[in-house]
Amino acid sequence: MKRIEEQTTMKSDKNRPSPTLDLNPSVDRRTFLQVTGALAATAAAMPSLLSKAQAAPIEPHATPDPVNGTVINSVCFMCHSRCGVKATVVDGVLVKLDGNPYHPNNASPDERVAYSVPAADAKNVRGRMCAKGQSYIQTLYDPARLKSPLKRVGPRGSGQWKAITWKQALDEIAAHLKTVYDPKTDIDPNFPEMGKVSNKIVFSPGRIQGGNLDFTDRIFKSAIGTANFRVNHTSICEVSHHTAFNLLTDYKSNHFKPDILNARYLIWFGTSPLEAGFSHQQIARHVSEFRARGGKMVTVDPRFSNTAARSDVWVPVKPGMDAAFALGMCRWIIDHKRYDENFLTNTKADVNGEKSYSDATFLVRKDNGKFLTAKDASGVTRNFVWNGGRAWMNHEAPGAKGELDPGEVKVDPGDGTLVDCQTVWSLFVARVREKTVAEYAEMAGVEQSLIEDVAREFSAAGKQGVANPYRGPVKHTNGVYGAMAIAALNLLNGNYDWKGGNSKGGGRPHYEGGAAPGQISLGKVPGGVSPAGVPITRHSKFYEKDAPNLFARDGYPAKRPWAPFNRDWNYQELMPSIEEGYPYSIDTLITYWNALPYSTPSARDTFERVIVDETKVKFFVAIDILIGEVSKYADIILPESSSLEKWSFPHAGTPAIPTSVGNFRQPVVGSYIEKVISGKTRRFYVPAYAQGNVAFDHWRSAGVTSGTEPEATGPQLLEDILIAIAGRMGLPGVGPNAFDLTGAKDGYDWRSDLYSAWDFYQNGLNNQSVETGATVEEIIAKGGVFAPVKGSPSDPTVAYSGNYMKSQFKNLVHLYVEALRTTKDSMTGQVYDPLPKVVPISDVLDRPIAEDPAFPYTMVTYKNAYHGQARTIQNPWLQGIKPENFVEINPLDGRRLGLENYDLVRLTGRNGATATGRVRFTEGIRPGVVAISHHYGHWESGGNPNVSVDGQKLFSDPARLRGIAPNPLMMKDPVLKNVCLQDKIGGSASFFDSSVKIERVGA
Amino acid sequence: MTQIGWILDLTKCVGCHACTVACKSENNTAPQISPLVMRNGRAITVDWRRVTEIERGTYPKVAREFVSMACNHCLEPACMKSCPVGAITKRDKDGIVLIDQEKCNGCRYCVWACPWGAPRFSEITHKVEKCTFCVQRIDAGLQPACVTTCVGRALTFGYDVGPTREVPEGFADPQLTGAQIRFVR
Repeated sequence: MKRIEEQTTMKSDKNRPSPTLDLNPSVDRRTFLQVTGALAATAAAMPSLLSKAQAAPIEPHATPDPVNGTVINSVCFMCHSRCGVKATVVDGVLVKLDGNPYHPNNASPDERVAYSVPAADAKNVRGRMCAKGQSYIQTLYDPARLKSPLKRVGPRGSGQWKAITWKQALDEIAAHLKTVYDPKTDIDPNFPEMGKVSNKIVFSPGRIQGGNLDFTDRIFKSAIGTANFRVNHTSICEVSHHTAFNLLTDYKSNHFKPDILNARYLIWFGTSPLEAGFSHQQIARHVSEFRARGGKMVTVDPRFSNTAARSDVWVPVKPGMDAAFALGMCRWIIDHKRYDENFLTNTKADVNGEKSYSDATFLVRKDNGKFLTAKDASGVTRNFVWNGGRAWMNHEAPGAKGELDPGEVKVDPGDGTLVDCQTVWSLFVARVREKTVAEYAEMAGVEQSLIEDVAREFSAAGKQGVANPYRGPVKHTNGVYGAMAIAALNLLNGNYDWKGGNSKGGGRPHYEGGAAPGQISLGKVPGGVSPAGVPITRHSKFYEKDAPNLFARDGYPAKRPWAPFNRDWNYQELMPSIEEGYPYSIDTLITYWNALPYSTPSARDTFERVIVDETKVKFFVAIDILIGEVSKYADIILPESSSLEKWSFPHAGTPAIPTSVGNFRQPVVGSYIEKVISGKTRRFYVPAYAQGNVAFDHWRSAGVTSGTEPEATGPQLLEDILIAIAGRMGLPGVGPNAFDLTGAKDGYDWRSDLYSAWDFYQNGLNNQSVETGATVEEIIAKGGVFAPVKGSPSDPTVAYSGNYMKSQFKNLVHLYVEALRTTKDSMTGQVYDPLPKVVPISDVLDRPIAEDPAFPYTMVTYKNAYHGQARTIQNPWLQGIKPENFVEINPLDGRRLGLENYDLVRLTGRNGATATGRVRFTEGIRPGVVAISHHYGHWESGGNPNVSVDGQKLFSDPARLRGIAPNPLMMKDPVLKNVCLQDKIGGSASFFDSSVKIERVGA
Repeated sequence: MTQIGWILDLTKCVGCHACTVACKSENNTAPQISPLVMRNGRAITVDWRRVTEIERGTYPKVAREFVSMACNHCLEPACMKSCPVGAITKRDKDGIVLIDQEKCNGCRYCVWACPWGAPRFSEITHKVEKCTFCVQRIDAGLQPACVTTCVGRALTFGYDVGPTREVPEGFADPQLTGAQIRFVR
């Protein structure tokens, strides 16, 4: 605990004068804040944008001080890793961000501060923090932040605004929503699957995390009752990965990660944890330790990523052909009998030294491809396996063992019939052997020996050999099959639940309730409604079963694809579906933290065409911290507080953390209005740049409370905004009796009423405390609750149980996905293939996309370690590291194109879109592939110089427009034409199947 | 006198630039606030610590190395010798080399003299700044900001770390000035 010793030094030095900085350059926090102040003063000249008084929370502070100040532990939001953040605040001004030393993302087990150490004692201990997170301070104090609700003047997207009061904005929004809100009447009685009229209100948060999303669900799902209550971005992120693992685990776990600290051999398929992924900084650190221990690492990626640079083997696979590499490995492992036979022959969980098990021995019917099943004596459906010349129900097989390949067998499932069956293993082996290793190598575009070498070493590592896929293999039209092929490798090694193997992670406590006695349901809305019908993005819904009338009308192909296996939202389908009014037209779009046309492949033209059409989107409200690529088109923009001025319970990080993580995000700056209502002190949050609170204003005008506080101005909390709208509409779920406190544990400050965001988060904190035993005060002081609540984080028994992970999946992982074999695709009417396979890149009718020689370069995208997706470009410290990104190509291609390094080039996509950028040659890319990082090339986000409020130009920084954005160049589906290519099974937007033309423009 | 110095484990640096930003955040170096000032396509930044990426080889046999670099607080600082106004001093107790911003006249001789490129001319103050080893934190018994944040746990510091034996490609001979950095590989 070296860092604790640091603190001890500090304590004994208490009377020491503050360190002086007289030998330091004069450019210090003081100057930084004076600059901020100067910009605030400029803003103050704009009527109703920001007055001097409003700027009070960030008034310049005179003494930059490295060791004193107030420490508030919270959670970062510069990417989705949900790392802890330790904010140092002096006189209300945020002066420094570090990692939260209690948080497992910010500190490895051997250096993490034990949860039992009081926060005051850890005040000067810093956790680690990536470049993005540390620069978050610049997002909080970004001069481009909105300071007032804005109403558009002139047509949508004109960039001309007038500042309006919160009262006017919320009155107008509530009045319009009331005209649409109707959770009882069918949209069309002939098509009940379209649901109720409330479905015409669409809430689309691009990014929203735990706590915040539970709150917005409360309003949109349970009060308004729209099936379109949370159209979020996951389908442009990793969703085919999640869908694949959901299918492989019967929806029990969508994500596994290696236990890196104890693994021996890691294969990263299309993911670069040294640059991105969550949590980049935690996984990267563990990878460093892994390598120091002598672990071997392979990176499969057409780009030589930083992770590849630190790997023993780089596999520059052909984009989209990850499955070929993985199945080639499977072929070698099977041919050389290097698979884990003990694991694969187990027929149930927790037997023969294994925790989880596979379906390798399960019998599949030859007639319909379903598992052969029957109900046992207690009514539980069981699978059949073969052992010793006869079939057994899987839970009764002798020794819990089945044969991998008894050949074709005839089995009576108990109804007197004889059914021809074969095992999953035999089907899988037959599939894998459809191609030779040489053929797989040819498809993957790599040497055969590379597949063989990696297969040999991977299988030799056994339980401690793990293959991990993320976006690379799955953001293709064949994404689910890529993930399934890689998942099969982990089954061949039988590595699930083993120390150093594939781990489901330590999970999180349930702030939302439902996990421990004494918790309450944070989501349940007394008097609320349930949405009816299909969401407009048609995810989780089966075309024939869930939309029988639409199916009867249209048959095959459906008008647009359905995504029955995807449990997230089909974000890329939102605007195209609105355009076509399929399955129904909408009225109102409300966005929150949304950058759809910037972030979604080939979406800019469709978005901009649809969003300006007032017959397609009659009313458009954006909730945003600045004017972004989406909010630019809003009828009304509501300014929101940043995530350093927000409460949430961001879900635990990834399974990479083997111990439980209960995050608590909280404001690090700002102030509160406190009022007693119904016997309890209600806390109304006043963010930086704000005065007053919109929820408080609402209850005051409703006569519930009183006071002389000024009317709200400036950015406000998302939750308080929604309370003010729902309150005006008279919806359930806010105000008195908004929670059902039945069964709530005694001794907590439970809130039955919901007057402000704090009432909601107080209940969530109580739930976290009830489940973990940490006090609410501790959770607040430490920015969450992190296991172990008692004891040392470096104690191995916290994360491990002997040779196994302590937190175990202990369940079935499939090689064979029956649901694929039995579900018809909505566009072709054909069932899917149940086994991993190499599938060509295809359109929505499963027709392979022919290569076009005019567009010879396949484009891939990636993240730098020092930028996130759409929300980091406003931080000058990050801009300064690299002011613009490059079009990265192999010098062979550069010479072929007659280019010099750093020439200006124009890229043209097959969708006709163009963009220019500077080319950079690198040997670290597969010839024929062009790589562009995704975070540059914005066209709004505080970069557009032509935005005016009340006739005065808003602040803009042209540096935010620098560089090139790859997503608008991506290919459109040739059949649907207004959307990108998609993985119909996984639900993903395709990111890595597009090709471009490159032309020299200048030097 | 004990002499403070850096220890950089080149096998653990992940090239994430967290140290670059930790230094900027701790010491408030430019750019501090939007808009980013650009001149001739270059951002006006003053980075006391930077990460250099060195790429070698030919596809598909490629290698990339990351080297995080700040001031090496040399035993015989070339910058100090070059300074015509005596603005650069070396502390007796730990050998930290500092530039007095009151005395610096912005002549930039030190920028040319330093074999490591540590002194940085600020186009904002028209003086030269550089890494101070977070002297305010060292004096308070704390670690420098780049060390506390290092994502890969590659960067640490110590005393009398000795002349480095192993240097990355392109790194000047440490014996020239007695650079206080030890590379681990």
